[in-house]
Amino acid sequence: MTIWWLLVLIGSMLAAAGGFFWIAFKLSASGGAVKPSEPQTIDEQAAQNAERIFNDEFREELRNRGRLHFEKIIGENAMFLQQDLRLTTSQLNDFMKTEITQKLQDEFSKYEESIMDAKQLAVESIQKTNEAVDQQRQMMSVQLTKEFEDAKAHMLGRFEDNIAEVVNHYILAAVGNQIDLTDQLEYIIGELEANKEAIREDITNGA
Amino acid sequence: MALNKDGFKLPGSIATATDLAHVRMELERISEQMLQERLRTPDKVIVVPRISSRLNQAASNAGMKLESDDDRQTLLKHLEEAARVAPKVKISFATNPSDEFLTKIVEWFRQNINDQVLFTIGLQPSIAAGFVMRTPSKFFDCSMRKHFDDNKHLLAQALKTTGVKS
Repeated sequence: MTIWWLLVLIGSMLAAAGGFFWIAFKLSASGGAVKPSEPQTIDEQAAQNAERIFNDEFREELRNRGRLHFEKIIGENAMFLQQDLRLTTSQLNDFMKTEITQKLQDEFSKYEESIMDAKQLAVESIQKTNEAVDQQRQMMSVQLTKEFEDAKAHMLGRFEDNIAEVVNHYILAAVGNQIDLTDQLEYIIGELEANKEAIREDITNGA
Repeated sequence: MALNKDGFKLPGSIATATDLAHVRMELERISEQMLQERLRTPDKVIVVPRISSRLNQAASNAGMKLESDDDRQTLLKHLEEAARVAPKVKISFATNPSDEFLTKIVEWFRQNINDQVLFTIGLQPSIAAGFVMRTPSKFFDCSMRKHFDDNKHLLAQALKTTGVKS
């Protein structure tokens, strides 16, 4: 086995050496046809070959291909961007709808709660006002009743007093000129007798 | 001067200071007239001219004879003294009193209170009956008006009772 492997190895080395020499020959043969003005260094040759390979047509071709590729990429990206934008817009719309709805619901809930509180306060205030009004009305009713009773009693009292005055005045006016003084003589003498001591004392000791 | 304490009493017909003034004026006029008559006819017997009943009663009460100059002067002094010292009483009635009625009232006063008292007679129809009298420092209301006022509550009570029943 080792011999075989050795033979193969030697054969490979020989083949490689032969290829090397063939290439060297070829290169030396082609070098004889090069013009004396052409570059002789590898760098110069590389630059010359590059100029020859990357000529204007090839560059134009590369430019066109690059432009197409760029346009393709731009188009794809635009499409992707449009899709993303649409998706984002849709999501944003959904988000906004959800958020706004939520916010509106929250605000409406708070507003409704505030309205309910205000309504409750208003109802309580109205109830208190009604109670106060009822109480005041009852007090006024009692007071008015008392005032009416007092006024009625006062007027009745005044009427009774006045009617007594009226009757007295009427009787005095009616009988004033009808009673003869001669008929009153006994009464007058009686009254004088009753007040005799007081009259005598006043006349005796008076001013 | 204590002439009135000598027994002179004003007659009942002289009830007021006005009456007394009239009697004094009449007495002065008579004295003057008799004096003039004596001067004109010294030999003629002087007759007392016609006089009022008041003056006649005053002279009778004093026991004076008007033919005598001294008695007339004495009576005039009595009357002047009475006008000066007599207590004044104002008494009012509902109507004008007659002379007879007033004489009875005056005589009662002169017998029971003071024999020289003089009156001022007033008229107050509003008292209806009775009298009101003002002495020097007191007021006596013995009128029907006062009686009604004092018993006004009875009238009011009667009216109230009548009103309740009706």
